[in-house]
Amino acid sequence: MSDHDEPRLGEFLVGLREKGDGFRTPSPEFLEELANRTLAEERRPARVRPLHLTWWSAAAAVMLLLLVTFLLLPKGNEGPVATNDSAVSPSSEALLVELDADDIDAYISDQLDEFEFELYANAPVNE
Amino acid sequence: MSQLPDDTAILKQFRSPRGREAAFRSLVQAYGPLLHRHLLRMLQSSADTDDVLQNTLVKVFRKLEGFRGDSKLSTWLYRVATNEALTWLRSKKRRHQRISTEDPTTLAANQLAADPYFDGDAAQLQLQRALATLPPKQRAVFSFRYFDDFSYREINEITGTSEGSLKASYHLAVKKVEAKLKEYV
Repeated sequence: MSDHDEPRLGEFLVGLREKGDGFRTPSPEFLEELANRTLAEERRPARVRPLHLTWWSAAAAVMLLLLVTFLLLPKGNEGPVATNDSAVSPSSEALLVELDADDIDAYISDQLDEFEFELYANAPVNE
Repeated sequence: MSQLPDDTAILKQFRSPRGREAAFRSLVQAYGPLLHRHLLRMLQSSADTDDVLQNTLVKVFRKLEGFRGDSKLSTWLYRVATNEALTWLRSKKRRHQRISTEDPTTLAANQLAADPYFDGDAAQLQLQRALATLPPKQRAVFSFRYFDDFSYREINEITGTSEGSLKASYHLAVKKVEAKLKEYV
């Protein structure tokens, strides 16, 4: 191509051009090691890991959600709305299975005043 | 672009599943020195050059199979390396701006005398410091034209910048570098 409109280099730049940039050339050993590193990087299943992490994060989020739901739902039972009981009763029953019947009776007797009449009528313990 | 290996043989070997890694090693031995030197001029730090060259080679390994041969292999390699270097410099500048007002390339150029890959004299060091004051893309243009004696057409194939713009850029770069060198003398 025509480079006739090339800028004229000053004396200093002309001299330096012949000397080069002053950088050393890497050794063949360095390049071999670089190729090894690159191939090792390429072989590493790095792209799979984030997917696993995503699944673990999703699983952890679901577990956390279940735990929060489990912890919050019994508090919901203490409210005045009786219609919520049917939705939470399976979880409560599952929990009550672990408890001794005498303990349950004792607890209800002690806390009898705390129970709403309707709630007590709808879900008798000794049913 | 001297000492060209047989690109066709490298590409053919790379496309055969068993020869892939051997072809890649041949490519690194053949073109590694050219890319390393180009990145040193762009980044002025052998530590950064090491990282950017590896990033470049990872991309090359992944994309070489799709290389159609529209340009010379060396041109394509220079293009990948230049883009990686420009991305690296942008990212480094952003990170650096949070802790210092000094330009990271200027800082690197000031540390160049202690770099294990620099063995130039005082005049060459001054030139590198002057080059550090150029914007990265202009530095690449200057480097290709001044040191490698690439034609504007070749630089256009690497950078994608029009030949007219490249000429203007090189013209401006020469003036800036000479002005800087006068300051140092």
